[in-house]
Amino acid sequence: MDGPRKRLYLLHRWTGLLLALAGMLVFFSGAIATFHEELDAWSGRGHRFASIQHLPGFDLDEAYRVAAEGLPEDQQRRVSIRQLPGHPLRFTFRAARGDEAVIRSVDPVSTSLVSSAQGRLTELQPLPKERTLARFFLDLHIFLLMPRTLGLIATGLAGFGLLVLVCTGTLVHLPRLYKLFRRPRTHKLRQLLGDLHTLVGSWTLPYTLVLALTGTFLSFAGAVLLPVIALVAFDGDQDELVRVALGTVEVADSDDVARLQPIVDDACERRPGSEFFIVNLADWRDEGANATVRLVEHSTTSETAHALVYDGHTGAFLRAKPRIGTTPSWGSTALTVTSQLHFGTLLGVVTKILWGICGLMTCFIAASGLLIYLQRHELQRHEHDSVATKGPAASRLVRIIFVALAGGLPMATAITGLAWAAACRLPGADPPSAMTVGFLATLATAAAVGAVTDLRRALVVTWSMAGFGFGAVVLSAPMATGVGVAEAWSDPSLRSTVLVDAALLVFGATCLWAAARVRKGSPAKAR
Amino acid sequence: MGSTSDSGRLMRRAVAALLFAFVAAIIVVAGSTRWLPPGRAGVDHVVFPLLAFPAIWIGFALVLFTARRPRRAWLTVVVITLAHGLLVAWGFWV
Repeated sequence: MDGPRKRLYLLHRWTGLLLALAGMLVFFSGAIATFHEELDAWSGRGHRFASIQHLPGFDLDEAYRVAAEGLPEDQQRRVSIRQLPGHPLRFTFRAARGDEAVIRSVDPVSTSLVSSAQGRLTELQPLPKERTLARFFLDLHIFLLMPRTLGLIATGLAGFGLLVLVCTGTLVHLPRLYKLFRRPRTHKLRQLLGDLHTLVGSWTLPYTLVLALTGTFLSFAGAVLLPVIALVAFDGDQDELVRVALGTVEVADSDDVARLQPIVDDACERRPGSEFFIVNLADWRDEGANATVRLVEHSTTSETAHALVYDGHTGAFLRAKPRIGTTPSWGSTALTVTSQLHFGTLLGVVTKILWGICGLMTCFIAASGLLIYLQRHELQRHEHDSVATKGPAASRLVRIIFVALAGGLPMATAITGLAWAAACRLPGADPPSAMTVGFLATLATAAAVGAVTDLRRALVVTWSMAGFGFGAVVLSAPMATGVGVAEAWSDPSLRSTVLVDAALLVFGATCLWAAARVRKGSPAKAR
Repeated sequence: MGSTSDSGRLMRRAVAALLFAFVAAIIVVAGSTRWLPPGRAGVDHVVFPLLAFPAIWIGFALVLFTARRPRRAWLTVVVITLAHGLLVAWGFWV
């Protein structure tokens, strides 16, 4: 048999085996990264800087003066002023060209300098220790903890691998409406796994298809495609491509420099109910100076971004800016929808929760696929006495990978949280390094457990560790942040802390329950 | 033995299809910026090929790997790729 369906099935199996490791890391961290804002608020509960939008009498021009002190005017041509919820006000100063930047943070209440760093923009990470936890999971999801371009290509390949799995899986299994409601057979473990694999895969098909398409685009666009497009459509000038994407602003020449606070006030008035996010100053104190104020409007069922452009000399409002280009276009709308679909912000909190659940479901599909492969190998070995099939080395390797992912990933997530808490507390410790070491070492430990014990025992050990680990993370957070659980839960401004604590406890309880179930044994027969 | 060599042959075909489809998709994306209308904002001809890249890649790969008539499939993909490659080259030459 060498028909298209057989080939699709083989491609599905090979891709699944190849993708298992990198793919599951990307899907799992993606499910966590969907809630990176909540996680950031949870880990940064000890440093709650007030939003400049809600600070009476706050003067952005005075904060700018403090941040820019001692910097030459040439270093202030491109400036971004940004405040994430709970963070200090961050100024990024850059020259007209080049990647060198000075990043300074200012306390919005006292208007005093909090931190200052200088270097290549891509290498600067001026985050307080406590706020590196969410960044770690974002970096894991976007770059797989690798250097930037290599990481983007790796995650792009993982996204494309998912696309191959979705397309081949769909063409092999041919989803039908009745399959969505078919009860999985529980008589044999192999049948149960196969039925659950197909059932969950069918229900999450739209999600996985959308995430695979948008993820592949987002990774490859930055790493590979934009330089190619710049070469072909813009004679190799990437700056010109950026200029077209951002849109040029026509401003009358003048020596005047606009005040920033009235610009931000005007933007907030024009988009009532929106939160201030960032001000980008371009060609500042030069010809064509302009300021773009970005705001985000949150509601339960939507999250809308606004960008308003102002004259950098007079401070006059010029226009509302689409995502790319100077006027609204199909391309800009398509890019906005793509971004909202990938990050789960299309329908606000509703899609975020749905995306988080579907992300974990995708991990289940990957893990069950590996288990199906293992079961099939065991069965073939049993029937043919290990002669006609590949040797036990292949199935042993798959078993190790399965334990490292299915048991190791939850355990590594909990250990990462504990490593973060310990590194925040210890003077001189670097939380990103501690988290990376903790995460990778835990995955390696889980793989070693998978290599030396049988599957059932390995899962019981790793899931039990993960269960207790998640509980320990909730208890260790006060040590890192200086804000106790009871204090955080009683503060209405720290609502997301309650949600993250509850989610961690639910994860922990689920891991312990799963470990207990596996220890007792499944009701389904092994074959 | 026969099954193993069949699998090896199919795996080589799969790798060839995926790699060629990747290169072809990049050329088609680059060439599409030449003929797609730029739209009111002058960005549509760049954005839509970029967004379509994953779909073009997987589409080409599946066609090349699973086609019942592989020669016809390869010929079709090569012609589409060459046409877009010529558009790219023409843009440099003009």
